[in-house]
Amino acid sequence: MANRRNLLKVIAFSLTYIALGAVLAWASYRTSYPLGCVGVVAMMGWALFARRHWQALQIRDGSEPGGPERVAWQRLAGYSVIFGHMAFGYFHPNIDLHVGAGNYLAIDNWTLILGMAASSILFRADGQQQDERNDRIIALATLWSYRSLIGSLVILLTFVGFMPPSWRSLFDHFAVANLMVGTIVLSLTVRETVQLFLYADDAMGTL
Amino acid sequence: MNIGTHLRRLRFESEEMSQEALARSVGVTRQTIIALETGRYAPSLELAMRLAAVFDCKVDDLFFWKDGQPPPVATKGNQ
Repeated sequence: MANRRNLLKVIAFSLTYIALGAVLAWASYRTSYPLGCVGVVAMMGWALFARRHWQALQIRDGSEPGGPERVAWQRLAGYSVIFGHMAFGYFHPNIDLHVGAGNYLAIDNWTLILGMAASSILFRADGQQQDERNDRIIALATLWSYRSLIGSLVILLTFVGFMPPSWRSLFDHFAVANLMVGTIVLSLTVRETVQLFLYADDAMGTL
Repeated sequence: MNIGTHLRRLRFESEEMSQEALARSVGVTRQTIIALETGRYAPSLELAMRLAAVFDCKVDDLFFWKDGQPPPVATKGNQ
């Protein structure tokens, strides 16, 4: 039961940040304000809160997650919000994301990437605490990430190859390129999600 | 997991060595020591030998089969 709760926590965390990214993109598009900084504040705020929470757990009973697990949570927040932001564009293929004419979505997306890089600085030392147990978990998560990437590419290529001729004007090469970037971000999101699943499994002794 | 360990007992017998100190001496995280002590993780041969070296004992003195003997080998045919 606790295991299922941990798994649901990972999924809920990822979905929350995907939704945040999508809402930010929608709000930015509707208001014509660059709202990427709101996503950066959310990522940094979570990172600072999580650090304090884990430090408190360490002092209380030593039940804080290990360094690589903390990094996985930080990356999951970043990749999820970026993927959510990009996903908004997929439902509006007429939006110019390449040069950002008439909207701030491209600028916001780069702002979110910079925000993720900035929040990773808070966890830089954690990423260096890796050992054979973490290596094994990361290798399994990377395997699932590659599988999701190949699967997404097969779906994307089938879609591009067989889409109705009337749709082709909506999907120019910029839109297709954005879809491909999205598949990469999605596979990275899968990697962090699976990694956290495996840590949750490991905590329950089923790995 | 079918492997048990005396790691916790040996740690306490070694002047109550902390998990953090043991983790540092064998080059792993404290979470991995916790996973080993609670029987959630089977170490590599190298880590098992490093741990044995810390307590100046054999690997057999540190890890054991919970059922007293190894379980049957699972192959694709008889899984």
